[in-house]
Amino acid sequence: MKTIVKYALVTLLVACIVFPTGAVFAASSGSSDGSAHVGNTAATVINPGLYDSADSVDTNNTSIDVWTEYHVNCTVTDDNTLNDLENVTYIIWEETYADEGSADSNVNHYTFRYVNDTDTWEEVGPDAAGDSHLVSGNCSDPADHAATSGTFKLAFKLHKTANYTALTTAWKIKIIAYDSDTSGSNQQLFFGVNFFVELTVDDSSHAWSSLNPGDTDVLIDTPADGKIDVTVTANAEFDLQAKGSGDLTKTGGGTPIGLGNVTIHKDTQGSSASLTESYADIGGLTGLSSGESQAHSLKLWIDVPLGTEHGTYTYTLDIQGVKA
Amino acid sequence: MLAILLVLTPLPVVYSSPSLGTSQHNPHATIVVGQSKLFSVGRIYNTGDVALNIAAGWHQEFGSIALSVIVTPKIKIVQPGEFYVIYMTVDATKVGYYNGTVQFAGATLTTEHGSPIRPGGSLPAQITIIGKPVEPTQPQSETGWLLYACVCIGIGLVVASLAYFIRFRRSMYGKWER
Repeated sequence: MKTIVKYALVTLLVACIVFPTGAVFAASSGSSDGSAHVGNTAATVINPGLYDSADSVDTNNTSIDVWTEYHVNCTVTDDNTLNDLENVTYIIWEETYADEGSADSNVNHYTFRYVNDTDTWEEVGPDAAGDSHLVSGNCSDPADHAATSGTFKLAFKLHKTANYTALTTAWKIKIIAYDSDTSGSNQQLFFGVNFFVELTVDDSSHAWSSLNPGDTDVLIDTPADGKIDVTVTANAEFDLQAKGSGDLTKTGGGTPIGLGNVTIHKDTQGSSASLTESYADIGGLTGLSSGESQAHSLKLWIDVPLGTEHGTYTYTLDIQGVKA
Repeated sequence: MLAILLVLTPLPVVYSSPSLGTSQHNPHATIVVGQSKLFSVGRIYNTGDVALNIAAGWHQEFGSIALSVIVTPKIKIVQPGEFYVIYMTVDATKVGYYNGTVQFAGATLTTEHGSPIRPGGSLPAQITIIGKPVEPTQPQSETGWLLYACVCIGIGLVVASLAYFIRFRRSMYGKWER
């Protein structure tokens, strides 16, 4: 009997070892728990393109204009569906004075982002508060985020002071699609920026209100401070130039005052030069640095030849900024 | 002595702030003589607070002849905040290098008293006009090709005949000569 018990115990022990206990319980409960873990796959960015605002002209590797809308289009894929994305980030920078990781700046570095959680586009910088470089109404993301790929469109414009570059490859665009675990990026787009200058004439008229024949080097008295103010924004070093429309002609006819009797300079009569009908540099206002809303002023003097008739004489003064 | 009083622009002035932005496209266009080409020279922005009447024209600075150029648009009224692209069309009549600028200025629409000051700009352009490319000399018709083939076959026959004649002569007279 003891032998039988021993064999029975040994048989039970062997059975316990050979057959998994789960099978014993399963057999007793009649059901099975299971799990399947699906790993994260990295998002990818493909087919990037830089286009004009109508999406009709490929502007990659060309020079583009500041303060003008352009589009960055791309396809983002994620095998875990687009719902898995956290954001799609666009980094735009000019490589001469900045790199991908530089701080955002109107001059050379911009960051934009599509945020999946909130389904919104935002300007990370340089104007995070105002989004002045993001044309949010023309940005778009795929309608179906349950799909595994879709097209994203960033509509943006560069600031007026975005660095001018002669090379059409100096500015870079990098697109990065971040998902929950990792990210995929694509950097194939590049462009240059055309020279831009904005000139505001703060004093849009000028005059000498009381002159006599034989007067020389008389400074304008309108504006009252004797100088013409202008405000300039430019994305590269520039010169200010001026020209006259022609001789100062008398209302009602008569002998004009020659344009050469009017001289111009930033502030010094002794260094002033006569106006001509072709643009020429304004002394003291050349080689000016790039920047936004820079205040400059200039002065005009006149000689009145003897024999000049009494009357009112007019002409038009044109001012322009050119790349230095 | 009675002094003659000169009053230049004594009337009240208009205190507006005309403002123009200019983006230079700086084209370097190459055109085949006899053809014409349209290209952009820049973008003009009204960045001020008043509407501007902008007039533009071509000012050539270099070239053997006066280029035939049409600037488009030549005159345009632009409201604050608006911008537009300005183009030029060049008819290429003589081979050579040319350059110049499209110059423009913006005048306010209100009547300016006195001597106005206008913001302006210059958009440079460089144009190279080249001759028509020379086509390689080849038969231009089916008849030409036929004639070309006949000449080639004829030359081939003559060469083959000469070779055969030389070999035949050697075989016929070689022993006698020895």
